[in-house]
Amino acid sequence: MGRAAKFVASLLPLFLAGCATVQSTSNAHGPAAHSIARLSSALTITFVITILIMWALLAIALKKNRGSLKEHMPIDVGGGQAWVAIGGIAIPFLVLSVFFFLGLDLLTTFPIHGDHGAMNMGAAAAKSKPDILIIGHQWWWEVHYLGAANQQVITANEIHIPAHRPVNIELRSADVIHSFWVPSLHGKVDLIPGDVNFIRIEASQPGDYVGQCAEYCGSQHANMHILLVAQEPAAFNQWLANQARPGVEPTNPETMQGQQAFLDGPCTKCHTVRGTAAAGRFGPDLTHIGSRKEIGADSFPNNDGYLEGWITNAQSLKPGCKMPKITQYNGTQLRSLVAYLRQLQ
Amino acid sequence: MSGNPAAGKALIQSYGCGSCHVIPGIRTARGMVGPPLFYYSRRTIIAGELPNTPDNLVRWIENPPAIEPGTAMPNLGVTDSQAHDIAAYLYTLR
Ligand code: HEC
Ligand code: HEC
Ligand SMILES: [Cu+2]
Repeated sequence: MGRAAKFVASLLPLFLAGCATVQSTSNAHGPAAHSIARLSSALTITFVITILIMWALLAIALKKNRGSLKEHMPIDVGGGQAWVAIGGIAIPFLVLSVFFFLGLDLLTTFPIHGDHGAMNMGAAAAKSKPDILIIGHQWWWEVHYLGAANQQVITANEIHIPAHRPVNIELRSADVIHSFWVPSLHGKVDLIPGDVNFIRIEASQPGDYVGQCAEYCGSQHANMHILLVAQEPAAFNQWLANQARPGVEPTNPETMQGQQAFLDGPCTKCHTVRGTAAAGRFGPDLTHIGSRKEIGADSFPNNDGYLEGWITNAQSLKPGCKMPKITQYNGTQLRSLVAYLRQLQ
Repeated sequence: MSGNPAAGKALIQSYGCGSCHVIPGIRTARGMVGPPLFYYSRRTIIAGELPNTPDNLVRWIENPPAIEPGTAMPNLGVTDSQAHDIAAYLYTLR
């Protein structure tokens, strides 16, 4: 293969990846996302047609080639005003007006409330009690299920929702501005310190949808991923009931030693495992960490290797994140600690 | 050395060896828990314990605590043929 061919070939996966990825507005899986996808394809098509017309006009102008550099037409030669009036003002005015109203209409598909949302939608979202509260932190997501009053369900980073029905979400921030965005389901909505926003999302079919914080929020913004798992309602209820239980008690010597290491260590200052003395609120709730697919705000797979690497040296995996390096454990303690966390299903 | 280095590379990624080791050629392998695995084919001793032979490296990757009970490197459940692939990759680091 020639150099150029190799270069082009090396770029190919980039484009293919762009099509295959789940994290894309054009890969719509819910009513709000469908409206957004429709508007963006309409915009893209209009844009392409406009560009084609403009290039064609340019080509015609060049072809006509009136005069030369030495001997050009006088600058004040008449004609052309109609082109400017129609092509430069009237048509853009028409096209942009249509998109303006289509854009306004789009706001009704994802009700936002708060000082920053569409006014007419505030009432709708505020009236319906939110099902889920999401609090943005540098650089992870705290997730509360607000269902029954006697149910205390707090988790992090992996957000489950029932499919086929709208879910109302309340968004807050613990520090700086973040933005919640799962492109296959809805548009971006900011999480604003000292303020509340609401969003209503609906997944038209079960599946794992990935998303991303969409407002720069500090050094690890790019690793503030979202994993949103839409489930059949029955499976969702089962999941929720399990998340409401306290952490699984260890049963074998290794996991028991691991729990001891966990409770004796600094972990409890920042993390909660319901049912134990660990009640820290600074970091993600770990009551069911073993059930999560990923760690570090969905940056790494949740397996023995990544988990142990994360616990001792999160700083090498996610530099600058708010979980410090932890150096007090020996190898045996670390392995048992991982075994304990993994059984917190 | 039997084993497929390309498969080894993918296995290193999925098991998360890189969360503890810096490993040349593996994207995101920037862990600072254990030693970096630079020039691994030129190493004489594995984990300060075993002569660096293919067989020993495979044994180590399959079950480190069996060789060094107090080690922080976990038994990740790597199978024998996977360990051969991983070792083959590490021996490409010259
Ligand atoms: C100073 C506070 C602090 C201490 C101490 C601490 N952590 Fe963390 N931990 C955090 C923060 C903050 C995060 C979220 C980091 C991120 O993703 O940006 C986190 C994330 C985690 C995660 C990943 C959770 C997820 O859903 O992504 C695990 C697992 C974890 N910590 C385990 C532990 C263990 C085990 C200990 C004790 C050995 C510990 N942590 C000690 C603050 C702490
Ligand atoms: C949780 C952290 C962790 C993970 C995950 C991990 N290792 Fe290790 N590894 C270590 C530590 C710590 C040592 C040092 C062990 C010792 O000397 O006892 C080590 C040592 C080694 C050595 C010997 C290094 C030397 O300097 O001689 C090799 C080779 C190795 N690991 C390969 C791997 C491979 C391959 C994987 C993935 C299948 C892996 N490691 C996963 C922590 C880890
Ligand atoms: Cu961000």
